[in-house]
Formats: sequence, structure tokens, C-alpha cells
Amino acid sequence: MTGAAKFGDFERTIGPHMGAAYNLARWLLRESADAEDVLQEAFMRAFRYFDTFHGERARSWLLAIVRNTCWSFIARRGEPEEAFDDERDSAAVLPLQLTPEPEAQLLRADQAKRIQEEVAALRPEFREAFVLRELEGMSYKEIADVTGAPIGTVMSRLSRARRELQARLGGAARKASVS
Amino acid sequence: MMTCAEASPLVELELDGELDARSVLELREHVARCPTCTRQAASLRALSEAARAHLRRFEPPPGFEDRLLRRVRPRTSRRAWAGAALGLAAAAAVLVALPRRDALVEQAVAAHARSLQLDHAMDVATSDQHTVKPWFEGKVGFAVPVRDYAAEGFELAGGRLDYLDGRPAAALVYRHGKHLLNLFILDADGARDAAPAGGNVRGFSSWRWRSGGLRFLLVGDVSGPEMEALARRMAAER
Ligand SMILES: [Zn+2]
Repeated sequence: MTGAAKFGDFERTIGPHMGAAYNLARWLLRESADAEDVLQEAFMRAFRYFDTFHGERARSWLLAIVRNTCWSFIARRGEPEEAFDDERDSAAVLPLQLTPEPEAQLLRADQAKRIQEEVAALRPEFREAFVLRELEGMSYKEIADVTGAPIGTVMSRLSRARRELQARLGGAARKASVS
Repeated sequence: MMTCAEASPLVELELDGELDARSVLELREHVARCPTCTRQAASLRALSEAARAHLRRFEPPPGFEDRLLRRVRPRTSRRAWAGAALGLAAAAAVLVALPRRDALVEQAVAAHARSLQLDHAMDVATSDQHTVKPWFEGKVGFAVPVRDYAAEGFELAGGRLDYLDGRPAAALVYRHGKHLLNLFILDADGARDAAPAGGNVRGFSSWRWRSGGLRFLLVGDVSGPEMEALARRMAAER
């Protein structure tokens, strides 16, 4: 295959998923300036590895490369380990059968909007699983393919992400109803 | 009978569509009788709905795809591409086919991608042009010319009402092997007829032309020459 033909194939394969790639990079990096640099590196890698791509699930294939490039960038950037956060970390170790308070059961509109900042505050592994599930509508298997984690790990990350969000959004609901 | 301890972890699996049909039935049976699990299910569902409604989907800045693909494109193929543009009588044709980007093409490509993603390409799914044509009556402000190109390998699959440029547009859907193509048709607002011009946006080919007071945009991901032949065939007909 000539370089031009290969590039044409590549463009057609990844074209439909560039929006998803951008969205994932933004959610992982949290900076728009970094996202473009990192995506350029990711797409160059993807083009180099394109010979090993056999036409199945292009989105997972591309997002896995984007995701790995983002994580090495974060490691290079030397982001400090996130400090222990009382509220967040105690929410993360709540027992599995957490029963939400009745008044926290349904989110009011203003709480629902706060979900943006609460998801952004999740640890990266949880944030990644949650965003791939809820924004990309990916199955556990697809998330496992993208993140390179076993399906069981994906399930527990998602579950813990949700428990944290329930606790934090629900916590605000209780505070709001007291005042 | 399922217990709470068994049911609780399954609630999330059901929400994510990862539970097999039999377990779904057993779980629902339990949840119907158990206020604790009912609350848990409602709370998880509310969270998921809030995420889908309010979580931001970051959109790439304008020109992002082009910029990136240009930087990734290998040097050799850049040269080959430039060479082709200079060579032979093809020069003129290639210049005409140079990507001419504007907001409407962008919107058409986005609408095309959306129709594939949402698994909702057709509002009316039929290869019968005499069913598709009247379906658009009263939905767009003009008579929609509907033709089948099955003989050329592009079978009419149906139609859909879409929006481009803030107003209703007719979208005709054609099937070519495993690929779907969208032909968007809008009022040309009195603009003169124009010959087909092609371009490439985010890996999709697009062709646009104006004829008979209508504006046409054809979008798909089949190979360039095939798309071009179809576009010219369609444009010649109207
Ligand atoms: Zn129960």
C-alpha cells in the first residue's frame, strides 16, 4: 500500500471518532491546550500502528491509544498524587450496599448541573470509566479494551465512581434541605 | 428468591445493559418487593440521567481535525498528493476537488455522523421512492426529488427529516454495501445553479451542488471516485 493510500484509509477509519478522542483527552487532561498536543502525538502513534489494526472496533482501538498517550503525558507532566481528601476518600470506602437517603434519591436540577464539577474531581481512573460509560455509551468490554483493565476492575471503578458521586451530590442535597 | 445481597450488585449491571435477560426478570421481581433496592435503582438511574443530560461533551475547536490530520500526514504522501495535483490533465479536476470548507458542509458532515451514531438514519425506511417523496410533504417547504440509484450500486434506503443551517432539510439515505450515505436537500434561496464540488471533512467525502432552486449535499465514506461519480450522476439529473 502506498503512503497516500494508507493515509486515506487511516483518515476514513479514525475520522468518525475524532470527536470522541478529543472529548476523552479533555476529560483526562483537563486542559484544552494540552489536549491538542497530546492528540497530535496520539494520532501519529495511531498512524504508525495502523498496519496492526484489522478493522474491528475502530473507536476502541483509537481511544486506547489516545488514553495511553494522555496517561504518559500526565506522568511526564509530573502531576502530584492527589492529596488525601477526607470527604472524597471516606465516600469511596462506604460499604457496598449504600442506601441513599430518601431525599437524596432524585437529583434536583441545580444538583444535576453540579455533576460536571463533581465528575471532574473524581480520580482519573474513576473519571475515565464514568465518562466512557455515560458519554460514549461504551460497554464494560469496550471500556476494558480502552483502559487495558480487566472487566472486573472496570465494574468496580464504575461502581465506586457512582458511589462517590451519589454521596457528594446527595450530601449537598441534605445540606441544602437543612438550610 | 433473590436476596438483597444478591440483588444489590445486579442493579448497576441492569442499568448498564450488561445483565442477561433471565437475571433481569429475577432482579425486577426482587426490586418490585424491596423498597431498599427500589431506592438504590432510582438513585443510580437519576445519576446516570443527570450525567447524560448535563455532563459536557467537549467539542474540538474549529479546524482541529484538518490541522491534526495535516500534521500527521506522512511527507511522502504529501509529496505524492502535490505531484498528482500538478500532473497531467488531472490538474484542473484536482483543483476543483480541493476541499472547499464552509459551515454548511461542516453541518452536513456532523448530521451525517450523528445519523450513523444514533442508529437513527431513517424516519421512513423504504426503497420505494413513491413512499419517500410524499412523506416529506409539509415537512420541508419544497418538493423533494427522490430517485433510486440501485442500478449504480446505491440503493435508496429511506428518508429522514434533519436540520441544517437552522431549518428543516430533507435527508435521503442510500445504502452502498455496508456504507450509508446521506443526501441533504435544502432550499437554495434563489442562488444560481452550481456544478458539483467535492471535499473531505473528518474522513468523510462530501459533494455539493445547486440545481433547480435546490441545494444538495452528499456525504459518505465510500471511496472518492465512486462518490464523485454518484454526485455527478445525481447533479446531471436535476
Ligand atoms: Zn433488596
